[in-house]
Amino acid sequence: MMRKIFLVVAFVSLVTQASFAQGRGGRGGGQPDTRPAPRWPDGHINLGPVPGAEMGLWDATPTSIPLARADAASDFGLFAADMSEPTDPFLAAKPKLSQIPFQPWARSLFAARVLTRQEPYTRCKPSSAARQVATAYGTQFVEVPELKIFYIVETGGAHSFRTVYMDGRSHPANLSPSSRGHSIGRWESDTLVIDTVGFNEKAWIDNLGMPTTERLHTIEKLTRTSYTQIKYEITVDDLGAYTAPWTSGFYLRWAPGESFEFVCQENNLAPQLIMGEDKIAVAPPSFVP
Amino acid sequence: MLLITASLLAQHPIAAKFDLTKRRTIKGVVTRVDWSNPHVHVLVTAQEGTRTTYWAVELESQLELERSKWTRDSLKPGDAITVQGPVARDGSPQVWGDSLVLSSTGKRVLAMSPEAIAFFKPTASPTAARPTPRWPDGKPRLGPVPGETGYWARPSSSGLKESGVNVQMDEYGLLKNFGDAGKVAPFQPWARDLYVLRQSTFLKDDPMFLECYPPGALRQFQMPFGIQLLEDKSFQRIFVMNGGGNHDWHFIYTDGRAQQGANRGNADNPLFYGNAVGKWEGDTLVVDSKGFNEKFWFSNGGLPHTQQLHLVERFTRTDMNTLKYEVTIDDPGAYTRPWSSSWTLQWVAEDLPTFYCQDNRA
Repeated sequence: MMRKIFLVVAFVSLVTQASFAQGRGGRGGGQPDTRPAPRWPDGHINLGPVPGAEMGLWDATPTSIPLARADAASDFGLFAADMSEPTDPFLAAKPKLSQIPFQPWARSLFAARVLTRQEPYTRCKPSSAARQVATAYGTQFVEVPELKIFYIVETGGAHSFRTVYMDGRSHPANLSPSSRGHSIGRWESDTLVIDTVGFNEKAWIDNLGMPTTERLHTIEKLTRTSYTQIKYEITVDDLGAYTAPWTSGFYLRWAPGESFEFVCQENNLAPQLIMGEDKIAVAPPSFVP
Repeated sequence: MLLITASLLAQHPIAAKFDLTKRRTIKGVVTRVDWSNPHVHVLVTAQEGTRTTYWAVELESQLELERSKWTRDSLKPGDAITVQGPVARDGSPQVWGDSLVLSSTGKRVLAMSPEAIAFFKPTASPTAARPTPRWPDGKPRLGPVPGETGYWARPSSSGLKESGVNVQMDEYGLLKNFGDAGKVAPFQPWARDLYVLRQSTFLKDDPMFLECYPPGALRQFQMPFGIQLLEDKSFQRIFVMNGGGNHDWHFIYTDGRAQQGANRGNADNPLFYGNAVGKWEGDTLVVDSKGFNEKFWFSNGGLPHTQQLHLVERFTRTDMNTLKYEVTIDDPGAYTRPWSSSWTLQWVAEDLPTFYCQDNRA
């Protein structure tokens, strides 16, 4: 039962702005952690735990996940908007909704999405782009240098993983659109840069549903700025939905602990707890199985 | 009578949903192609006499059709087609697309190619495989070697039965003859009866398909889209990553930890993959798993299990291309004694597929 209780607590926290890190026993104490970002023996940044040290996962504060800040609290419908003015320059640079270069149809669709809140995540779908690195219960970044592969592994949500190819390959031609797209990555100094194309239009790249089309191309940058913090930046390049590329992001915080089995389909309370109520109908499969 | 019918026809799990004895021919116009996993669907509007009917034509997965060189543009809304295949058992306007013929060209579309069918089946290795790859410490590698890619799939047997038992079942674990059910494993009577029920309903209640639950337990080693074993040596754990199912993953811990309840220490939290702890015995990884829930079918074919299920799995990479899988199933809740089975998996030297059961759900 422990896990189910925890699940409820955590989903509620999505709504109530509580931090996962607090819920999972983050370092706390109010003392800043001054440890630098760890490195592997060859000198490149380690985006995961350090062998022999505490295990940990990366958490996002739920209200930080939206790729825009609200101009007014009502911008995000019933979803709690964090209206505080950040002092951190990176967070302060996150665009407000009015600064997102929406095409008109995309702005209208966004307005509809924040009201209906039919986020695919709440129906156990694999999350996309920024949403995937910020699923509940912590994310693992697993680099396998000898195989030239980097995995982004979720605990909550679809409890799945995204494969980022680091072997220098290009995106294949004629990609079939998917929720995750096709990701290739490379290190640029101390920043991991992930380039992704091949998204379908069902994908939600954040938890509010910034609209996207099959032309979406994302560039994500992961910079571990200290032992306990990753700066996550994403450039959204989709001239099907926006008039220009734009950039946003949030911080991921280190939270000690290990990942665990999570099966969204098993007892999915997200429709009630994230979307708010039972009366939001989750339609049954249209014709399967 | 049911047994005879089934043994003649049930060669594919489409029998779970479609009545293979009732076939239809539908001539109509495509209105939509839902190009996604787990099954591609083509929606067709047909004129039958004075009545307009609307059909969902179900096909293999997007992944399999793309392996057959089809794309989402191979068939387009507005195309006139003739569909043949069995209709849904529940009377809904659905048909399995045994054959789709494009009226404008008279050619079949969206059929599995022979190459694609062969790809998912075990193959005889044309040349001698390289020896078992090893880590610098001498232990066998369970994943790719540096500079290469690959994963494990093509199980030599994908229906579970006790070693030495001679019964025929298809790749989905569906018995050729339901009368053989009692021979498959040392069932307790209730478990045998439940197995017969699941079989005789053509596995239609399988939670992996109905709910998109994970394959769980040993079933992940019977899956067509394979698994990746990622040995995370730095932290003495192995990621077991599914290509298909819901593309999920779990850990086998090799750090010597005790097997206790769930990973968070609460013993009352049974899992789909159990708590898996592994250790090396010579060149064999021995994985001991307990703590399973009863919400899933732990193998193809619907053999029952209880929360008492205890698996001991032995993984031996006998050469570059072969993983021998041996399992002992000890579940006094469902079986009268522990029993064993084994099969092999083959190395597929390409990237692990990405398949999500939940893709074309609402």
